[in-house]
Amino acid sequence: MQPQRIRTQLKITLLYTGLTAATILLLSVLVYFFAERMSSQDFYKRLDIRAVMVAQQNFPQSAGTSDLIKDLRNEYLEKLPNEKEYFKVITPGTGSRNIMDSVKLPESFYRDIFNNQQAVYHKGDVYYAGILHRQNGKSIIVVVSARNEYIKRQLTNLRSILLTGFIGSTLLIFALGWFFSKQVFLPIRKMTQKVRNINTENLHLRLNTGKKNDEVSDLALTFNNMLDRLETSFESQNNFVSNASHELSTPLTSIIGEAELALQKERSPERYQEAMNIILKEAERLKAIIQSLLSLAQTGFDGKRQIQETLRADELLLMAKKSVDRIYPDNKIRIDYTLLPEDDEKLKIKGNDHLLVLALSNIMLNACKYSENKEVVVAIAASNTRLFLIIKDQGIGIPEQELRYIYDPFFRASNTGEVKGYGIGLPLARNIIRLHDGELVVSSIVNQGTEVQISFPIDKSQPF
Amino acid sequence: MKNVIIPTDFSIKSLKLIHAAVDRFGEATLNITLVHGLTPDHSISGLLMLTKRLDVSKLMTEEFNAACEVIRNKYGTTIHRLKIECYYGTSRSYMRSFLEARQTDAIILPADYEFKKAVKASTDIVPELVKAGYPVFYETLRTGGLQVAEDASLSELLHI
Repeated sequence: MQPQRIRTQLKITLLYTGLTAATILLLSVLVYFFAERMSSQDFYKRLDIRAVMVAQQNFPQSAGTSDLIKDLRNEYLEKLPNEKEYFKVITPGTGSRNIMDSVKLPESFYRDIFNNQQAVYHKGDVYYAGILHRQNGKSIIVVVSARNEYIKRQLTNLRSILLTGFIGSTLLIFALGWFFSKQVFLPIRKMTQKVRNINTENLHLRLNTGKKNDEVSDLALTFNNMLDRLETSFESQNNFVSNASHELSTPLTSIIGEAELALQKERSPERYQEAMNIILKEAERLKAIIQSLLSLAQTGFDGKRQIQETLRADELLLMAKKSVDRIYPDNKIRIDYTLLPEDDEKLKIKGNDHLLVLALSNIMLNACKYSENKEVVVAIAASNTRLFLIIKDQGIGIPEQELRYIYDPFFRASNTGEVKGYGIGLPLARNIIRLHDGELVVSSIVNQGTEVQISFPIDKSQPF
Repeated sequence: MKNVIIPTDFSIKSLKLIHAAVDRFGEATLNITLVHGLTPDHSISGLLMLTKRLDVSKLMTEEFNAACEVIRNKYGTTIHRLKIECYYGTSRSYMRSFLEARQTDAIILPADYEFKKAVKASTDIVPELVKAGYPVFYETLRTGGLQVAEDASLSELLHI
């Protein structure tokens, strides 16, 4: 969205400008503050020297120095603007309030003089420096005052420089920030443009991830992965519909054909019986397909609503074997307990027993079906965090290049031949195992056998 | 309590010797030490960093560790401890003191399996183990069964 993007860009620019301006402002204030302190200290020092000279001139320690100091002062010390000098001899009993008659100075100033022999004070741009001078047992307060015009001029100058600098740099930063955030959002804007062009007709389009390994290309990669999944599910849905209609129409065709054949002319009761038997068998097949389709749909879409309870994996295996027994009474499934953990806490998994039995029995059925009823070994093992189920047969196997399609609904490997099946069992099992955070690994060698390894996280939440 | 030494090449198949060890000494609790032989690295970086040892830690894959855990869980009460050690010795006397330090009661060797060289620095410690003068038992792994999955599958632990 255009306005949204501009708003984000503006927000980033303003934030950036604000932060930088605040830093500059802080720096300017510091510079101003220290400059002011420095120059007033300097001025007080100059006043101090004059105060000492005034004291020595008027109350010399020895006769004759007075004129000498006066000459020195006139010659070498510049007259400060509005320079004035005051002095007063202190007699015992004088308080610290308004000692000078001609100038008004605060009480703290005099207190400082008495305590530290010197004091400074300023009022506006008039600066005062005072000292306590002693001569022949007398104490004299000497105060010199002057207007600090240098400092005034200097500081005004500094203030205007800092202010102009602040405003100028803030504007510059805003401009740079605007440019900068525009640059930052450029790849994202491009990506938005590209994504907007992708719809159901051209799902094969992908974003340009670039060679850089940064966040933006990461985002693009994530987008591409999502598109991959979307495309796959889109395609498998398309295939699914065509495969499903094909699978459903095959038994229907036989039912219709058989019924038509039987109805063409009068036939013997045995012949009718035979026809009805065929129709029944095909109808049952139809029902089986529809039922497995239903469970596939349920596991695929309804996953979150399944009840989760704590189950024992060995019991699940036995239940699955029982349901296989019903279909293949003479199966040769052997449950191998050689790796069974001693501690049955390690056998607990969380899940829905109906679904898990369905998944396991589907895989076991496949193992029996495609191995001409050779021995199938089902083993159970547990590491500290995962429970493993291994189902191994000695059947026809799956060709290597077809292994990656085995989870597509209705896909059947090229070597299945006469064996009947619909290609729903394994996708269904995988859906169920995924629902339970499990993993399904199928490895196979043609004409030697197939090994399915399923693993689930062990449930450690509560004891039985 | 019995201390059993079993050589390993970090394949899941070689862990089957633990089954055999438990079958043989099952009435006692066992301390099992899996030993992998390595030639010591005499270069300065090798001595400082123990790089070969690090190579071996890469060999202890997720699957191998899972298989070890499976066996630990299977024989929870029989196996008191299962640990993996590297052996850097080259002489018979070193091997003898290595075994003595671990208070070895028995050494289990495979009768029908040749250990693979897991990394370049791996050494075959079987001859030294045989000559060390401790009781040695040869066990069959029963590896004749059909192998469908890659080497790193738990199914190698099964007797099929």
